[in-house]
Amino acid sequence: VTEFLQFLTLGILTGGVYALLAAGLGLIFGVLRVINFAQADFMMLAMFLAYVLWSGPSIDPFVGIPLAFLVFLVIGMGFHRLLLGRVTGAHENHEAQVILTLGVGLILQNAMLISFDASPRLIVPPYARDALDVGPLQIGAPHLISFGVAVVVAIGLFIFLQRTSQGRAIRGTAENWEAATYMGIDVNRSQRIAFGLGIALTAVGGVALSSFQPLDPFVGLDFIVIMFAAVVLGGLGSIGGAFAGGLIIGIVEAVSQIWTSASLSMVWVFGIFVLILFVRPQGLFGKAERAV
Amino acid sequence: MLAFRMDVCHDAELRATGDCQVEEDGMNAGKLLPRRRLGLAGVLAAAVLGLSACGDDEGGGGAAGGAAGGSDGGDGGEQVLIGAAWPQSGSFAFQGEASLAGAQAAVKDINEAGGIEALGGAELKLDSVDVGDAPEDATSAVNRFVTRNDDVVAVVGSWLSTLSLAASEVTERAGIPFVTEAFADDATARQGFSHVFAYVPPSTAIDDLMLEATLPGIAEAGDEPKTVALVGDNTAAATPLQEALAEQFKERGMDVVERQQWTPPLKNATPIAQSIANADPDVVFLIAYVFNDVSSVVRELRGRGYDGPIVQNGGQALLPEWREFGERVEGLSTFVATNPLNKSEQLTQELATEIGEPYVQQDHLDGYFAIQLIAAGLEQAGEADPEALNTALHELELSEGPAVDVMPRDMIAFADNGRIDPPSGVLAQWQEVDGELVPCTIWPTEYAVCEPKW
Repeated sequence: VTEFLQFLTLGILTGGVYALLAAGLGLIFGVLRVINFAQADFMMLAMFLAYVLWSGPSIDPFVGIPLAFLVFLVIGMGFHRLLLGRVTGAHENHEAQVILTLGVGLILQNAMLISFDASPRLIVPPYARDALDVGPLQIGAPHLISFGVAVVVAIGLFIFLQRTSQGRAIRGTAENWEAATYMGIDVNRSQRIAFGLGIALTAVGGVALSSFQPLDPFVGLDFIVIMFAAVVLGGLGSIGGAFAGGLIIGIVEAVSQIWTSASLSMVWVFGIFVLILFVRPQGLFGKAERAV
Repeated sequence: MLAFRMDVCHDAELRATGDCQVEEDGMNAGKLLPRRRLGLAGVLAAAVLGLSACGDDEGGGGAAGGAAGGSDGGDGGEQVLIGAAWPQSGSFAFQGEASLAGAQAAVKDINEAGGIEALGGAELKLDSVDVGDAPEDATSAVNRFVTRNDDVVAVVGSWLSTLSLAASEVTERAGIPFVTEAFADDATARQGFSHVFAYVPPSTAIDDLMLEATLPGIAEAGDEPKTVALVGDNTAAATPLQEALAEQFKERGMDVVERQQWTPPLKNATPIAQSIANADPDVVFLIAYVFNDVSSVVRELRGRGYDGPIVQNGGQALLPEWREFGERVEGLSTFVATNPLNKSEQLTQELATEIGEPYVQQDHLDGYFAIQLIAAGLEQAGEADPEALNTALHELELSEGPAVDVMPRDMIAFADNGRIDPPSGVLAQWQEVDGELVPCTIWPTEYAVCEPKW
């Protein structure tokens, strides 16, 4: 029982980070109907920002999260204004979206390769060296803090989307952008903010991840499948679903290792994935929360 | 489902189509490569940023060391052209750059000391040939290089066994000696190949050497290890060594209390580390070659209070990034081809200063050794001719000089199969030396710089 609880806890904590990573992707798809293949590379950029802050002015990754959020909010909105906005909304072109986001991802990887070389980099804050003993459980402090960040961000996002006029505008845009236009909503602005938020959410996840995961220019590739799996599992377009999907993946990945080899953990994840999609093709929350 | 088919190396389709490259060596840190994406990435980056991943080097135009020019140096003296076929782009670039830096230092040393005496003081000229991170890239780059330069006497490289195998196909056809750090048995065991010289132990010899280097020392320091955790990735590089070690543990009556494998990249190391910590083995053998994976396991394992010996295989355990762990890295050990030795302390310190690194490690020394070996071969051959150099390398019995100094042996001589026999290697252990954390050689005892701390 203790072993099960231990691995369950590990899975929940790691799943919280996966949830953050996936929530950004889910928000972008929900509002813009864009599959952003560069999402994981923005995560990688955020990890490098955390590294620069840590190796330079010794700013702890978690302290740097507000800065990362703002920086990537601006980057995301700028990217939408300059590039993505030209192939979304009234100018919607799905093929161009795919190539554009794929291309941007590749450019980001190689730009970082040129700037930082391919060497792996580590951030090891002092508090990250010892696991905390919580009763019979051992919990890594960065994992615990990351999970806390995920919870806070999830609550903040929920409040923003439900309680603010801009949040309601984003939800309206997600529901039907043409109808939202007729209702007087500035759809382009809503999409831009949603895209910026989506990038910023994943960036926050990336910064949290950097506190316990090495980084290099290609680290995004290691997490892209998890991000997409979480989004589809939770239901395309559902932010809550993406959160749930990330948590489920984290839990299955960890708990499965009690009984089988770690090399089979992703087999378990995708076994559960297939099973859920067999029962609910729209994903766990796809139908109920498709409109955000 | 497009999202789930993209560019991930454990994707079965990519493996099946051969689009995923995995290092097959025992000692070189391997990394899974999503080649489709990287290939496209290179094209896009070159187009958009105006930067070429390969640059001019593939054509042999990039003088990486020595004076510029063709066979005749700028001062009218003869130059001997050597190709440095290491990756300078892609995911293996930082290892390739380290090897190249070592080779450049060797060229500089040789030229400053008067060049190749037997050739009237001819200087060495090293041209970098970027072999990228895929076998076909290596083949085409080396092919272009030897086609455009009919005066090439030797090629060194290519860090990764798969790249070395590809590059040596070209050099063998051209009759040019290829000096390589490839561990794969195939590097030298191919039918009809007589121009390949591999100076590191073959992968089939590593398990014996690893256990000889570790278990007696651990037993001497305390209790004889009876339980062991054997964990690592499931790549073609790591699995055979894990199986060979498991067999050895069984023969020695040791109990493998934890056996885990993962498919790289390892996204969450905590469950594996927890399993090992729960099993509390006397020693952990961590056989995986991706730095991100092994560093995550070690971080989580140490964080869970496991302070027993952790033994790795490969250069990924020597990178300066381990210093981020502080004192927690002390005791971490790895079996590699070479590392600074007691007979080469001054040389390796000067080399580190020249290269601008806090210390030199296997990749730097490999590059340095390869060039010094070719220089010794040229001295023996007495002419700058590939075939003469090939014969000289086969007949070489080198017992002194920088090439011998940086290797854990007294004699460099190649057997008919192009391997140095018997195989050798060193065990490097992270220790604090003069206030700095460095991977310090602790085995073989006759070449050790530090006392083992188990």
